[in-house]
Amino acid sequence: MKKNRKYIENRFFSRRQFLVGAGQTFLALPPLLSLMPSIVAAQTMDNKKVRSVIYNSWLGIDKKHLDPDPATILTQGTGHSVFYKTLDSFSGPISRMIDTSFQPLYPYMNLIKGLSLTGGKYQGHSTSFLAGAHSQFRDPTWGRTLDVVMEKSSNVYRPEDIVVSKAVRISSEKGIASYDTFNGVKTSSSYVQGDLSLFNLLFGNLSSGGVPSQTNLNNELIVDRVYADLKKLESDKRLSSDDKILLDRYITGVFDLQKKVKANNAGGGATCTKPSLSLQVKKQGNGYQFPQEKTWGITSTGQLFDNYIEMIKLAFLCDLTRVIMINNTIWDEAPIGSGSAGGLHHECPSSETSADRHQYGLLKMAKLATALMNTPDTLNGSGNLLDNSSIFFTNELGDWTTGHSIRNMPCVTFGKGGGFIKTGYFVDYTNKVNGSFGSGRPYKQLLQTIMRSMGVPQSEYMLYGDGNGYGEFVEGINQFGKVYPTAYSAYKNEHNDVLPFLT
Amino acid sequence: MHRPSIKLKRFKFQSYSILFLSLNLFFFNNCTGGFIAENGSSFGSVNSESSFQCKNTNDASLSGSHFLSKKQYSNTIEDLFGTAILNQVSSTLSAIPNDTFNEEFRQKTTTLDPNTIQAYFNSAVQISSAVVNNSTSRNNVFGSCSGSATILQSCIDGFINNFSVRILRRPLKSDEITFINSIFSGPGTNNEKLQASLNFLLQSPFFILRLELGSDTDVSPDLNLTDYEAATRLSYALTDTTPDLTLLTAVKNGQFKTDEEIRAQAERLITTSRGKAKTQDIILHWSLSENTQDLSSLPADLTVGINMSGLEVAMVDEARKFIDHIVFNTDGTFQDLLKSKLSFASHTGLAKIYNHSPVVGGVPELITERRQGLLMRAPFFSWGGPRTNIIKRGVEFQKRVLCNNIPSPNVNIADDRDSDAFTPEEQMENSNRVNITHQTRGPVCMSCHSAINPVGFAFESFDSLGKLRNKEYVFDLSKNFYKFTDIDTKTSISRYRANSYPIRDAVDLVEYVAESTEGNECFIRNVSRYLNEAPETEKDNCNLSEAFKLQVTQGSSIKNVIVELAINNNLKRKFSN
Repeated sequence: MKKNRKYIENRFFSRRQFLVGAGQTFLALPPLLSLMPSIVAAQTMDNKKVRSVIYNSWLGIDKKHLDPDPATILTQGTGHSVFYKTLDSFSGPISRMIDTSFQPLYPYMNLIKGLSLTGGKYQGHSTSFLAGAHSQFRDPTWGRTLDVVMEKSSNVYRPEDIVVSKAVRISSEKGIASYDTFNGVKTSSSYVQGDLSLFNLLFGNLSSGGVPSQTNLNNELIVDRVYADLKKLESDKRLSSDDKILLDRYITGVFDLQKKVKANNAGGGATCTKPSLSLQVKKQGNGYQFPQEKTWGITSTGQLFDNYIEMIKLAFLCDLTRVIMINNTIWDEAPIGSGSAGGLHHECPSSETSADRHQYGLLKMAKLATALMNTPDTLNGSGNLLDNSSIFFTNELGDWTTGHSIRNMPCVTFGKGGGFIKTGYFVDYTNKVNGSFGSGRPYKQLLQTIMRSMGVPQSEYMLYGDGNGYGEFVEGINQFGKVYPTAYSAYKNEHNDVLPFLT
Repeated sequence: MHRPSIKLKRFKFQSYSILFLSLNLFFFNNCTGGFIAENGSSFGSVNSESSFQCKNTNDASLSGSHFLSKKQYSNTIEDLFGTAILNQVSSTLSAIPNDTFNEEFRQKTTTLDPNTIQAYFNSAVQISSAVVNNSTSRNNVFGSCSGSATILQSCIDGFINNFSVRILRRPLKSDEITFINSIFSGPGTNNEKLQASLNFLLQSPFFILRLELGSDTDVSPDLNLTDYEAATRLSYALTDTTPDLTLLTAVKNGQFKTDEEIRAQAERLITTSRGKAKTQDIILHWSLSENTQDLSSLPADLTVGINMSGLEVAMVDEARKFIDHIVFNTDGTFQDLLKSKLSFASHTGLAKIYNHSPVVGGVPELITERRQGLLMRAPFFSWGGPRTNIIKRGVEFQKRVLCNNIPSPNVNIADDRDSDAFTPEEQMENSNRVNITHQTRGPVCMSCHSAINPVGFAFESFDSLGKLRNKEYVFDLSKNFYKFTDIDTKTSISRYRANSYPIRDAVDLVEYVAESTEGNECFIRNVSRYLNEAPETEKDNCNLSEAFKLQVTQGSSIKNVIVELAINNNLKRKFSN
């Protein structure tokens, strides 16, 4: 009896069971648009496919090289201490990192100052900044990074959507700042390294167009057979409850796979075909030494990023994925030479050198933005890909000059996020009116803005945090012995909202 | 020789904490890891009675099926199809998530997400294509008859009855045979059919999952494994790969039934190259030595005169050779593992760290300084920080080597601890030990740090490279040399009771691990967890108890202890949870 009770308490509720249940509920209770909040109704009516790219690096950027001269005259906007200046009104370079080469992108770009992580007094090196939380070498028992929120949201991917991968993560490191927690257990996201791995993930199963090959037809036959085997096993009385959990996860994965293979053979994925790219081929060694492992054959990270950009553009155009995360701490290209993570900060002879290395990543995102801007969005039927995407460039640390700071995090965006994000501005959210510490707004409001642009409603992302909403919100700040108990008090009632002015 | 002479028991902090701390504090922390010296002033020989209480000899571990870990999948592909095929698909395999471990066992199901399933699919497609398009590989899998213009039924039957058995680790069932035959009678070229039939087996849940279902007549999760399932369990436990031909042939011939037959296979498997590698993995994991560290940012003063090129890898390689020598060359014991003074450091930098001439021709050198055994080697000590990481050393050692529970600090406790730290400038004036003592001095912090810090302090005679030292280098914030401070490794590993046990340094601490019941038990727990890919439960106690008797009472070799844990009397049984 006791055993049975335990089984019931711990019963695994599979995703498929949930979807079946949700579907039946939905059929029984059709949604009434008139009863929905306007923003939810608008998202439900709009089936626009919006995409998100998140680029992050480590070890901080000296913000004086990213932000404009503090003496720059700004216009005051509405709300709590919003000051701004349009990017096209700057003459010459905006900063060391944003030089005049960015000018063609100004209409699609924002440079944002004054967003800080909240959450107590830990010093930087946050491992959870993309979950809107501030941890320093501690793992929160809650939280979900924004890429995972978007990946798992049925408001981003509807049940009928078939994509190759709901989120693609690329990392030059042995890990990536993406995770999910469930019942206090943190699970890091999987990722790929190198362009060949990305190619195989996105395009490995695509036919070359036209009539599917016999191999692809056989693949469909086999996946069908595997799925049937698994379904038959599902009711086997010899399975323990642990077995059933394992099997259920497996069936869910094969179910997704089955849809993709069938869609591909049926001509799904629009007119997508495998791109013809000259990919870097690993010669030996393991996949985690890329590209420091010289035997890999890499001669330039420029070529690598060119391949990334081409694949991301095609993936968006063909709806192979809508969420991309890139973690890069590697460069090997003139004029800045080669280096890796440690060189971003500790080994740099000056903050200028570090800024130049970080600018390398920013320039690559600008190149991606340009490629998206120049590509009509045939999938959505209007605008270009950058109109319906956002690219977010950031870092784990804020103001580099103050050490491991969580204040004034680096934030550059490209793209209009399907029309949700206003662009073309340098915006300074630093709380010049109220804040004695000048920390500005919670950084998580930008993450929430991106999630909302993708269709994730506030009520959904608020599920993943400290109990007060998305991520973590603490009114006070205590860093380096400086205590300001009311640094974020002005945002107590709005920290779960999107950023004002830019939305 | 320092021979402790009293018995120590693990002190479970929960049992006593209420006497000393508030109820609130009790709920913040669940540390175990204190030690009580029961009498006298030094510890004694191992208590021959372990804490593994064997109540029912019919007990066996709760079993759940596993999926192949990344290492197991790669090993299996390599052993089935060869290294060349594995290399061809390595990029695709990189999409399969890394194996992740915690203190207790490999996390089994959390990484089995749709992306992983996709990666298995992509791998199967690519492997089958690579095999079919390479005549040598194709002949190996399908036989030379597969190159004929017409593939005869006898050729298909050969594949079904031979190589397919190796892939699924059992004979194919009738519906599987029918499906493969239908592929060959369907449309497509010969190569497309060969590829599809192989692809089918590599995507089968019976290949990727290690399902234990017993015979078709079983009707509940409590069942007896088939001989093929038991052989699979044994093979992955001891070698991280698929059963080899010898083992499958024994099963097929009915020679995997008696205890003697099973033991013979286990003793054979553990001495194969895969078996040796798995044994090394197990012991490296227990000894906190499995990972290479990035030492590139160490201050030059710490690395002067040391060849740093390839040093990180050399450290782990040497530890592997040491384990191999103790376990397989000398059939050594747990005591040998912790007390041997041999070194296999051929890398000039590592030899300098261990203070001996580089090893030539594989003949080990003798370590003459105050260093011994596996737990005092560079992989555990080394890290990229200029000052040693006392807390990390203490926490990991308590968790892994002594099996004590050291939870991550509560946010509020961590807040308090950080606010108690000296400023960076103040830290430059003190030894690392003084700084950590100051930072963790609060009573709440000490509820765990009283167990963590002494271990870290004992290892303070080893710097961030693992080099023995008698002075600590202190660096300024730019990593320039600032001053020397004294090293103090004297400490005590007990709390709350008068008879705390004093130790002089790391050697005493390692001797404690070798001699204590707790140290011996924890090693056995680690081996069991690694073999079973699951934490031990009370139902494992009989097997653990037997292994403990072998290791402690009979002084049996590590190899025998591992074999005993692998073939325990319930190898062929599965119990439901």
